[in-house]
Amino acid sequence: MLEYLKTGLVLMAITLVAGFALSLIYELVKEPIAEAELQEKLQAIRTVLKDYATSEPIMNEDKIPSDSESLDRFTWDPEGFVAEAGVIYTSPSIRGAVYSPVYRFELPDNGQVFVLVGESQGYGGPVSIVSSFIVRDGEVILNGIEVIEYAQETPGLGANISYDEVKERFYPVERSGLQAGLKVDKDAGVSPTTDTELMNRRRREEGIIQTSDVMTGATITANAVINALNLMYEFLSEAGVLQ
Amino acid sequence: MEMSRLFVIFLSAMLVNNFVLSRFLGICPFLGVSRKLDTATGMSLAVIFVMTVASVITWFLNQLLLLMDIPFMRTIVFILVIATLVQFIEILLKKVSPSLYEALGIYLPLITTNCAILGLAILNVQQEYTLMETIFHSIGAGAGFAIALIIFATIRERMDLYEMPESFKGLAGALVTAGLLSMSFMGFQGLVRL
Amino acid sequence: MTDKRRMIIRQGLFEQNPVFMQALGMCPALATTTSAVNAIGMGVATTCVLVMSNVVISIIKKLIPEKVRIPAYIVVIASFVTMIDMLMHGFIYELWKTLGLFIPLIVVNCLILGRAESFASKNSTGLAFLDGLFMGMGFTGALFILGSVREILGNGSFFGMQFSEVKLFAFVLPPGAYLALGLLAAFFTFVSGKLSKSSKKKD
Repeated sequence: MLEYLKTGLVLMAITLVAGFALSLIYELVKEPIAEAELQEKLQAIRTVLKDYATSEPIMNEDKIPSDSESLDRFTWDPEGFVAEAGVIYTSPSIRGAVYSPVYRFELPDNGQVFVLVGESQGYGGPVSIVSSFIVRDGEVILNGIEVIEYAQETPGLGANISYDEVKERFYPVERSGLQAGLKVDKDAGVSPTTDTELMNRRRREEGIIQTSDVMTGATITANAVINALNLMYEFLSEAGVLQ
Repeated sequence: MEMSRLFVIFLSAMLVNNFVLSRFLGICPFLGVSRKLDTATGMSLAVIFVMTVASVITWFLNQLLLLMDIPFMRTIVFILVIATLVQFIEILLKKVSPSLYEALGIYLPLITTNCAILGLAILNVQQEYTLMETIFHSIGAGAGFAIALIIFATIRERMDLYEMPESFKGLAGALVTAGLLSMSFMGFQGLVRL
Repeated sequence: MTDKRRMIIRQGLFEQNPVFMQALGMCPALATTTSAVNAIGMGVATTCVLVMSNVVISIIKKLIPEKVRIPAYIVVIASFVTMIDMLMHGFIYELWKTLGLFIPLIVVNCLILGRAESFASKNSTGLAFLDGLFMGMGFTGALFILGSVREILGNGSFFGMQFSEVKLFAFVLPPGAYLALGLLAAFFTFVSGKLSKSSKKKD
């Protein structure tokens, strides 16, 4: 009995020392971790706040948040939505989540920009994106996306999502395309085209995203991005900002 | 909806994201105990059992860790619990069902260092599964491990009968075979639409 | 004594190379070698844990009762793994995201527990440090070779630099990991077989 007690105590002592050391390090790295994650988010927000056509910032450069305080000022609380465990919206029909908080920026010309962070399931894990929707004069347009989490996607296939030439295939989309629901060309039953004008028209008006030529036929990751975007659009229309 | 989601989780853990062939978890037992079919079967059963029990326990423990706000203790707590659990199951089996112990006993100690068990527990946490989803995910993962291991063992039993280049005997040949098997499992890719 | 040191170095890097010769730590070796950078990241993280756990275990080996030897080792290893995990999360965020699940899984890398049990618990701290360092380097080297082969063949690039349009995608996908490692293992067996034959002839 005494022996058992002794071995138990030794093991307990080792675990306690380990736990103590770890909690010290945890305190030490807590800030760098939060900082690294915040910087990534801020960078992504800066990216999606660029105009899709001109690549210039759509609002005054010095108004774009650069730290957590200035970012918090743009937090938007839509009525009737309660954030739970960092998630503000999920849908029964689309897999994924829209994270809380949601950001809203006012444009000088009465327009509003909604910047949303959300995720859906990719090939090996979650794919997270940041997107911007511009609402102006009763029109809505998907202005830009940035992919912040795609680490578990396959290099050379799904992970191509990080290239600008691939991300550019997802925007801009107008209301008719968003309402029809975004889908990849394979699922829409159209064959990929080299005619840029046709490709852009299909996307803007019908929501058909052509990725099969730039992602070597991989659709799972593209679909994850599309699911997240459709979910975000559904959230915005339920929040009543799209009338 | 709920039921179909559980089924999708189960199926994708078993076939699409097969633990061994696509997530690379549990390779050691996969290569180590696949020489004979009956040992492979015994190992598979032991793994399914331990996986399910361990996942449920670690799910509750994770809630506790979150409550106490010490998420950084997760790895230590999980691995200790798995090690203790395996010991406990071993003792229990010996007392309750000697015949089952006979069949599974020798595989149990090997399971502690099977990264599929700890990997599964951490995956459950990362995917933020509910208890029900955790259970289905674990059974699916265990079944996937079993399928891969048993198919692989039957192939290896036959491989012993054929002539092979000297350098490919043993590990190298087994790995190439596993590669071909993994390729065939990629065919399940489109099975589940997430 | 220097002889013993030389032997440790040689065994870690070649004769008992963890991946190619002992087939230890196969899970991370297959899963994280989609590119040369990822492979090195994983190898270095594992080496850090291996060196630290080897040193600590060789120091406290006399204090641990025989019965709880293994659990005690596991706690030591798990603490270092969590430490590395948190440090990587804070300071090399991108790599941390890519390696993901496989950082906590260093705990169950049989290589680390194996070295703790078979070497660190029986040898002096200095030797344990050396053993950890070179076993870790052998592991990193093997991962680097595998990662390079897969990145070059599968993605036509090396350290992210694109040089070829020929891409055999199969090599970055799961089956390619098995195939590449299988072929490399066969190659190593072939070469070491040839070498030992020729050295025997000389004798």
